This record gives sequence, structure tokens and C-alpha cells, in this order.
Amino acid sequence: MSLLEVRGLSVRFRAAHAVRGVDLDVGAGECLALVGESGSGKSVTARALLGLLPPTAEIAGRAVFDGIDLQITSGRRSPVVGSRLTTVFQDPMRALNPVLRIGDQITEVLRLHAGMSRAAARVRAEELLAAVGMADPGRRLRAYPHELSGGMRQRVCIAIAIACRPALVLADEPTTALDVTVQRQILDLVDELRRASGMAMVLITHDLAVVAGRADRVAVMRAGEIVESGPTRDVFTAPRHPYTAALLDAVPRIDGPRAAAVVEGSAVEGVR
Amino acid sequence: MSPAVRAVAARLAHLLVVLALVSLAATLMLDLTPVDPAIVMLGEQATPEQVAQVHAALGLDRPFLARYANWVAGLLTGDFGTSYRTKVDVLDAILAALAVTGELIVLSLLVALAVSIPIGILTAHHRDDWFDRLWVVVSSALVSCPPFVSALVLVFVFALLARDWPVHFPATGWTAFTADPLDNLWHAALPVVTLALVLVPNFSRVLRSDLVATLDDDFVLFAKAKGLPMRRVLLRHALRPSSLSLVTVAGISIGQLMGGAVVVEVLFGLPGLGQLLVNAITLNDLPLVQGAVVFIAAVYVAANAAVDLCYRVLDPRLRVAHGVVA
Amino acid sequence: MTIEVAVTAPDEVTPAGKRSFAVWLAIAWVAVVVLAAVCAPILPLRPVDEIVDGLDPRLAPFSSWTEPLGTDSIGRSTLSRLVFGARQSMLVGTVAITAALVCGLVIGVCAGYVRRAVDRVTGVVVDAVLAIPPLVLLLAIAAVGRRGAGTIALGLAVVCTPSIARLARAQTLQLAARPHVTASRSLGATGLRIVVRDLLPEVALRIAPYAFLLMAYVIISEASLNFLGLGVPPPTPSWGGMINDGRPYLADEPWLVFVPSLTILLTVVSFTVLGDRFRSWLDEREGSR
Repeated sequence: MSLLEVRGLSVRFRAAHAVRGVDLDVGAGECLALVGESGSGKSVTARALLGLLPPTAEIAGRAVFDGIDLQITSGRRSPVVGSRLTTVFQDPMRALNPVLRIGDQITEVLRLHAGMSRAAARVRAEELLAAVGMADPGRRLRAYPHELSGGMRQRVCIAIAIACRPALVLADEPTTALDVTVQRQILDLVDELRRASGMAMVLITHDLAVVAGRADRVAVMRAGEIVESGPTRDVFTAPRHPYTAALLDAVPRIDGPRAAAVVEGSAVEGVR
Repeated sequence: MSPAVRAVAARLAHLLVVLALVSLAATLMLDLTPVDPAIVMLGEQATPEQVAQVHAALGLDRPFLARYANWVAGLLTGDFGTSYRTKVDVLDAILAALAVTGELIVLSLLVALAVSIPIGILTAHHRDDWFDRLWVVVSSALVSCPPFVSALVLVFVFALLARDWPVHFPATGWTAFTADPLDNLWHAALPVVTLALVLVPNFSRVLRSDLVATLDDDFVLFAKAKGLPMRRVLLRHALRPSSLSLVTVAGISIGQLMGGAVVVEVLFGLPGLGQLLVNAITLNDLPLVQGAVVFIAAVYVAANAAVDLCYRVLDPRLRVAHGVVA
Repeated sequence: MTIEVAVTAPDEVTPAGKRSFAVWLAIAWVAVVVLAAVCAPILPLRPVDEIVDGLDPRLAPFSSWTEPLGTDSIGRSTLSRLVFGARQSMLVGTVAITAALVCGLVIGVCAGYVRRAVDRVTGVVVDAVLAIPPLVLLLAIAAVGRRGAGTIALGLAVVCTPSIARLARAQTLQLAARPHVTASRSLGATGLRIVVRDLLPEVALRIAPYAFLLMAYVIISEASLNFLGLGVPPPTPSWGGMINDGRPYLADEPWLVFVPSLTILLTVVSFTVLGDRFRSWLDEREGSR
């Protein structure tokens, strides 16, 4: 049985149909890449699962996580969100609260979900910062987000995401907002953490170069629908859908000119 | 000099120039008035010799700038002059009255914040709900209500109609806090509520609009994704970054409160700065008017400077003088 | 991203239908007040200081056909005092705001366009005026001037000018950077010509809604001053003065206080509603460009 099972997920904002009938399965310890251009509904899918969509969103469908119904249509967040099911956002510049110290932002999760004491949470937070590769974690706990670089902030976000040993992390474009050199480091870090702890991950990205060698399976989204899914190798070597082929062609290569193929019809046509 | 120090110094210099202008205007004011202080002190039947004598005693025969310099020198040593009428020291009179006005202002700021913060949070969190819509109407009515009207409504209901109820409030009078704290608060209740009502609509509106913007921020979404209960998301994550405008408005509103205090003190018969000012104006007691105006301006300017410091406490990003990350 | 497109669609706080109803009410009330104020001398009203024969003092509203709003503390007609009070209030307000608009616009546009020393000097003066709480400044001016409508109008003009100057300066800075202004400058237009032709009319239009909001503020301040007994001397009627006169009878004849209070409240709310509507209309016009 899979860890996360999504059936018939649909999301609409007034007239705009952002996600239409998405089915997804993620096995324990597996890394699924959810690929598509911006506006294809990847983020909305993730946010629907986490219960983060605004009340104006109309959600339909069903999602079961680890045997528990997430009740995504209720408008409430499931109790597993934040502990067993966590997320990393795209822009670490904006995901951390600018007026709270890093330490407080990590320990509040530990104290809430793991019921740790202030002192215990502090020790654990220091371990977490060390685990995501930050030097001098004791001092960093007292820093404010604006005192850290983008890469370091994303490391903090990852530390928060893995704090309660989650079974599944929804990483929503975790490296898009970062410098190219830092992107690689963060992806490697995530990979390493995943392999070490055996957690599963959904890696949401528009960048197929990120996917190769990291994801076990790939699901390609376009205009709110999943147009193709399968093991990474199969999808990469023999894409069945023309859109997937176009995406693959758009990946810059060293050996050739950048080919920007266009698929008829825009992915954002459903939105306004 | 570091940029931060230079910014503070420039601001201080600006404040000093502003205060110098205010004091100059206050002195000029006395020159322009058709009222002769000698007549005020001696009465209409004074002889020209007596008048000349008083003018000399007050230094009114000297040139304007000399009198101004003299007065400013006095201010700096704490000598605000003496009242024409009661012959009391102006600074003493001001300080005694300040105890009352200061209490009114601090209490009404606290009451206004205590009421408008929950309302601001509620209306931002449940925007476009029935309460949010209702509050738009209620607060625009409150904004349009002059303080003396709301005071009279409060007096009518809670002092007069309530005469036979178990709890009712005094319509006039004052007890010093040091004499009887409870009775002091009892007398302060209606005036404080009147003043707070002036502020609440503005405070809650400003907080609501900042909070609405913050609630759409990624970090609030991330806080929700951490599984934190909504209470904690609102109070710990969203409130503080959304309170800058509120602090600004609260600082500026001290001026509004000073104005409101004049009306409220006269209406409730409280011995504060406003009452002092109005009495001094009615009696043409110009040194008292001059001293009170300059004193109020100084307090107001200082309060606004203090607001600037509050920003730095609320938002650590502003502690770095430059190179703030957007 | 999809989510942003969908979420930032603006939600109106009040539905358009309700809002325009309120706007019509406001227009109607302002029209009534202004007409009454303008026509006061030719309306069939009793003289304001005549004590009405045959009626008790402090008569409640709606209890007599000849005096629908009752009589005041010594038996004068409440209706005619209210109407002449409106005349007083509107006159003072119009004079004060016109003066403040003219001075504020000239100062603000000059400061914003010429910059440098002019900006510095006006900035400090504006700050100095703003450093005194408005009502306190008004009281101080009332203290040195002769009691009367002229002093109040002058005081209100002084109090209102700095905020208009600040707004005008900010708008000028924005407009002066616009292409058509830089274009006419490069075509050799003189500074004065640019200020008069390009800047003043546009800045004036953008500040116009603010005049309504200031009118609301001026009505409150004028009433406060009269309430404190530092405005027009009796027996000249004024709204604030009527409330002050009625105060001793608050317990038993509350209408003496609440009839003029309600009049003030309605007038202030109406001007605020009109100013807000005007401003959002301008914003829409700006947005649709």
C-alpha cells in the first residue's frame, strides 16, 4: 500500500479550474518528481494536500496519507501536517518569519508536535542545524533570517521540515529561488537526508535537469492534469506525451543549442 | 560617523529647528494679540503710568528678539514665566495638570489598543464576514463622532440614565491617583472611554489592512504548514510584523488625544492641561497659553521620535542601518 | 503562478449597490444642509434670537406644528438656530478650506517641483505647524485673535494647510517624473509654464477628494471650538454652541443636546462618504489608464 494516495483531486478558484482530477501515489521512502511549467497546478496540488488553500478554493477529491484521510475538502488542516507530512517552500527569503529568531522558528515545531521542553527542543534544534550542514549551529539559532544567505535560509526551512521525522516532505520548487551553485548543494543535501532517514518526498519542479538521478518516478502536469507518469528512466528515454517531449527538449544541453519547442495551447488557459 | 548615528543626529537637528520655530511663533503670537497684559493684570481702570510700569516690569518695552531670547533662556533653565492672573509659576501649573492629562492619554491609548487589536485580528482573519462588514459601518460612524458628542452620549447613558442602576459613573470631578487609586479610575472611566473611541476605528482599520497583507505572505503560509494552531499563527507570526503602521498611528494619535483631552477635560471638569489652556485663554493669561502650547508641542515631537525607536524593536530588519534585504 | 492570480482578485468590502445607496443619502443630506445654509435669510424662519411666544422653553421636537424641532433652553426656535448654525459652519468651512487649498497647493507644488532650498524650508515650517496638535493650535489662535468667525476660519486654514502641502508635494514629485512633463521641459517650456499648465491642474484634481474629508474635520473642529465657548460669541447660533447651551438639561431634556449632535454627525458622515467615493472614483480612473 502506498504512503500517500490521492484520488480525483480537483481545485477551482471561481471560474478558474487549477487542478482537474489528479491521481497520485507515493510509496514509503520513494521520491516522486511532479513536473510541469508554472501555472500547471503543481503547487496548488501540494497546497491542497497541506490544507493551505484560501477558503475561496473549491476542493474535491480524496487523499489518504499513511492510512489517515487528510479530509482535504473540509477546509481544515489535518493534524499530521507539520509533523508527519511537511513542506519546503520555493522562496526561503519569504518563508521564514522576518521578526523571529531562527531558533524559535525551529523549536516551536518540536515543542508543539513532539512535546519537548524548551531546553530539549533547543538541543534538538542545534542537532538539526548541524544535520542540514550549517556551521556553528549554536550561534545561528540566535540569528534573524535577514542575517543569513538564501541557501542558509533554505537549509533552515529544511531543518524545520525534517524536525519531527516526517514520513513525507512536499518540496515545492525548493531550489528555484537560489543561485545555481547553491541549488546543487541543497538538492544533494535533501537527497542525502532522504536516503538516511527513509522518508518519502514529492519534488515539485519545472526543471527536468533537477529530476534526473534523484527521482524514482516522474509525473508530468499540464493545465491541471497529469498527462504522463512512470519511472524516471522510462519517461526520460521514451516520453509518450508530446508535452513531455517538449519539456525535455527545453532542458539546456552542453552539446546543442537550446531548443524551445512550443506545444499548442497554453497551460494557463484555464486561469482567466 | 556610522550612517545610523548620522541619521539620528540629522533627525535631532530637525526636531530642534522645529521646536525653535514653534517657540518663535508662540512669542510672535503674543505680540500680535490685541490684548494688553497690563490691562489684564490691572483691570480697565488702570492709569497710563501704571500700564507703563507693568510694561517695564514685564520687559515688554524691549525689542521682540531680546524678549524672545530672554524667554528661551528661561525655558532652558526651566523658567516658563509666571501667570498674569494667579501669579503661579507656569511650569508648576503645567506639571500639575500634566499628571491628569498624562494619565488620560496613557489609559486611553491602552484601552484603545486593547479593544482594537482583537477587532483588527478578527476582521482580518474573517475578512468579509458579517462582523467585518458591520465593523466598517460602526467605525465610520465612530470616526465621524466629535468627542464631545460621544462624551455626552456616554454621560447620558452611564451617568444619568444609570442613576438608579447598581453601577453608574460620575459625570464630573476628579480624584488624584495618589489620594485614592480606585476612585481615580472610577472618575477616569468615562473620559478615557470617550478618548479611546476616537482612536479605535483608526487603529483597528490600520491593523486590519496590514494584517490582511501579512496573512497572504509566504511565512504565514509556512507557519500554517508547520501545523501551528491558527491562534498561534495570528498572534505570534502575523501580528508583530503587521504592527508597524499601528505603532505609527498610535504615536501620531498622541496629538489627536491632546486635542481630545481639551474637550474631555472641560466637559468632565478634570484639572488637566486642556482645562488649564482653555481657562488661560478665557482669562487672557498669555504666559500660561504660551508655555502650555510649547510644552505640548515638545511632548508631541518627543513622542513621535520615540515611535521611530519602537520600529527597531518590532522589526529586527530595521536595526541594520542600511542594506536591508527586501 | 495560478494561486496568486486567483487569490489577489480584489474583494469589495461593501457591495456596489449598498455603497451607492449610502452615497445618494450623503449627497441628499449635504444638499439639504448647503441649501439651508445659503438660503437661510430668505427662508420663512423666525429670527434666531426671538423667543417664541406661547411655547415653553425646552420644548421637545415634534410636539408643536409651528416649531417642529422644539425650542432651546430659553425658548428660541431650534430649527432656525440649527439652520443659521449650518450657515455659520458651512461659511467658515468653505472659506477655511479654500484658503488652505490655495496656500497648500502653491507651497506643495513649489516644494515638489523646485526642490532644494524651497523644499527644505517649507518642510521645516510644515513640520513646525504639525508639531502642535491641531485643536491646541486652533485654541492658541483663538486666544490671540478676536472671538469670531474670522478668527476660526483663519485658524482652521492654518491647521489644514500643512497636510494639503504635504499631499501636493508628494503628488508633484510623482507627476514631475512623468514622461509628458519631462517632454515639455525638453521642448523648452519654462518652469512656471510647466507648473501652471501641467502640474497644478492635475495635482489639484488629485487633492480634491481630500477637501471633502477636510470639510468633515473642519466641521468637527469648529463645533468643538464653539462647544468650548471659544468660537463665535453668543447670541450668534452655532451647532457646538447649541450643544453647550443644552448641557445642563442633559438629564431631563436630552434633545437639546442630541438634536444638534445628530445634525453634526450626519453632516460629518456625509462629507466623509462623499470624499471616500470621490477618491475611489479617482483611483479607478487612474487605474484604468
